Amino acid sequence: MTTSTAPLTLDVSRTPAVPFLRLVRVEWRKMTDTRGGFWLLLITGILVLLTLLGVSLVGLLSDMGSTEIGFEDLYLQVMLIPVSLLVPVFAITIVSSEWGQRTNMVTFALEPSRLKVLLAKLVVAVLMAFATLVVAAICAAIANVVVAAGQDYSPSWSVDGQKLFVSVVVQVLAFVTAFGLAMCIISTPAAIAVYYIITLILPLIAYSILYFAFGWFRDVIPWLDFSYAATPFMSEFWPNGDPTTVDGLAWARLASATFLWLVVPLGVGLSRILRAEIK
Amino acid sequence: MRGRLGSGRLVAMIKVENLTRKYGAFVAVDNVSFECRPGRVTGFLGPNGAGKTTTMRIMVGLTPATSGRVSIGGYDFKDIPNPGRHVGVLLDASAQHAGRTGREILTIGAETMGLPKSRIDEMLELVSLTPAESKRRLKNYSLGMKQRLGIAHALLGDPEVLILDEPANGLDPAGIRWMRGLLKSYADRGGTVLLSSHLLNEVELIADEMVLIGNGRIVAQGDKKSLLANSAHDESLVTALDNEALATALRQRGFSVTPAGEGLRVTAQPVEVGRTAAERGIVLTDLRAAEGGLENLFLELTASTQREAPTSLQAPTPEGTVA
Repeated sequence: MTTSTAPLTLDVSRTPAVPFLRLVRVEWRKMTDTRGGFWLLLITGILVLLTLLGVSLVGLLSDMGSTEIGFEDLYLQVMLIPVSLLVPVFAITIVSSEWGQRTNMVTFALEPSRLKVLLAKLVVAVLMAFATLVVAAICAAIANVVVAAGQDYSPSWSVDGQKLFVSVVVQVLAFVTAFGLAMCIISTPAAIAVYYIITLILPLIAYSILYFAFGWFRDVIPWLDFSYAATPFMSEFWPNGDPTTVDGLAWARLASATFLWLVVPLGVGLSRILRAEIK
Repeated sequence: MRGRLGSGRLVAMIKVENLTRKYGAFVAVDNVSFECRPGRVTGFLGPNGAGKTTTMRIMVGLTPATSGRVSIGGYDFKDIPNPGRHVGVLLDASAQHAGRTGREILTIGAETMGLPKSRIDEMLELVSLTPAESKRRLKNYSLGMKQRLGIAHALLGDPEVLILDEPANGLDPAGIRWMRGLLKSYADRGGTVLLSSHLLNEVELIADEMVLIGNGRIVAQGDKKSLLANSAHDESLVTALDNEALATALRQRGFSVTPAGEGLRVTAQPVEVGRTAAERGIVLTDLRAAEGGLENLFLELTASTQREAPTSLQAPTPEGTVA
C-alpha cells in the first residue's frame, strides 16, 4: 500500500441529493411509527373525544338561559386545550429520540447535511401544530352545531381574525419552543420536564401568584412569557382586571417573548447540534 | 454494483491522509494514513480503544477531524449526494430504535435513499432474516441478528464502498463464514470494503489487506504475506528426519529453537530454516510459517496499548488498616 496512486472517483452524476420533501416524509414516518408515538396520538385522540363529548353534553343538557356560545369560544377556549397538552411532546422526541436511541448515526450517514435534516424535522413539528389546529377547529364546529341545536338557536360562526391569528402563532410557537428546547437539552425526559415547567407549571403556579403580589412583575412578565404577551390580543382584560390595549407596546412585548422562546432556543440548539460529535 | 470498478487494483477508493483527532490532551487518532482499494477487503485491526471507531466516524462526517482529511471516491463524505447510494455504513448495529421492527428500519433507510420497497425483501433475503424475524422489534434481536440487519441496511443502496465497524462482533463461526463469503463476493464485483475488528482471527479470515492500529497510530499495514515478511520476528515450525542435527545447525546460526510437538519451533522465517537444512543436507518432512506469527506481531505492535498488563490481582485491603 505504499504505492501512491491516483484516487478513484465516484460517479455521482446519476444520484441527485435527497429531496427535502422526501426527508420531511421520512421524518413524519419516524415520528409516528414507534409505540411511544402511537400512544401519544391515541391518548390525545381520547382527550379530544372526551372534551367534545363533554362540551356537547353540557350544551345539550344545561340551562344556559340567554347566553349563546359560538364557534370562536368553543375553538379558542375549549377544543384547543386537549390538542395542546401532549402533542408538543412529538416536537421534543422528533429530535431527542434520535440521540436517545442513537439513530442519529444512521440518519446523518444517509444525509450528512445536519441543517437539512433538522429543518425537515422542524417542518414536521410545525405541520403537527397545524394538524392540531385543524382537528380542534373541526371538533369546535361539531360542538357548535350540537350545542346550538340543543339550546335552539342558530350557531354563530363569527371569528375575530386577530384572535385567530394569535392563537395560531401561540400554538405553532409552542411546538417550535419544544423543538428548540429539545435541540438544546437533547435528553428526552429532561427536555419534556423543562418544557412543561416553562409552559405549564410556572405560569399556573408562580406567575399567577407573583402577578397579583407585585406591581413590577406585572410590568415585566408580558415581556418574558408568551401567554401574557399574547393577552392583549386575545382578551379585553388583564388577569387583574385592567383593560388591555393593542398598541406598540403590546407588539413589542409579543416580539420580545417570541424572540426569547423561538429564536434563542432554535439558535442555541442548532449551533450545538451542527457542531456536535454524533456518537 | 453500478459503475466501472473492479479492474484497477492499484487505485485507491478510500484515502485517509494524516488524520488526527484530539480530545484535549488525549490524541485518539494520531496522524493516520492508509488507503483502501476496490476489489479488496481491508481489515482495520486494533485493540479496543485504539482509535478504529473514531477514525471511521470521521470518515463519514459524524466526528470532525482535528486535522488531516479523508476522501471517498475523490469526495468528502458530506459532498456525496445521497451518500447511502455510494457508501454503505454500519457503525453500530445496536444504534437503531429498539421499538422498530427490522423491516421498518430498512423501510426508513430505503425511503430516505429513494429505493423501491422490493429492495427491502431482497436485502432481508440476502442476510437470511426470515419474514417472521423481520417483523420482530429490534430489542428482541440477538446481536448476530442486529449485525445481519445492519449489513442489510448498509447494502440497501447498492453502494460501491462499505464501511463497517466490528461487523463480525456477535456472529457465530457460521455467521463469520457467511460474512466472509458475502464480503468477498462484494469485493470481487469491484466493491471496496473497510471493516474493523479487535479480533485478529476474524480479520485474518475475511480481509485481504490489513491496517493495524494501536494507540491511535498505524503500526503496520499491508497484506498478510507482506506483513509477515516484514516482521523480523517470524517463526517457523519445522520437522526433520534428524531434529537434533537441525536444531544444532539453527542454533549455530543464532536462531532460538524450542521443541514443539514432533518438530521444532524456530525464530526464523521458513526460507532461512530451509536454507540451513539444504546447506547441511538435512531432510525436512514439514516446514511452514508458525501459526500465530501474525498474532505475535499484532500483540507486539500493539503491546503498549494493551490493557492486559500482567499485574497481579491483590486481595482488597480491609477497611481501617493501613496497607
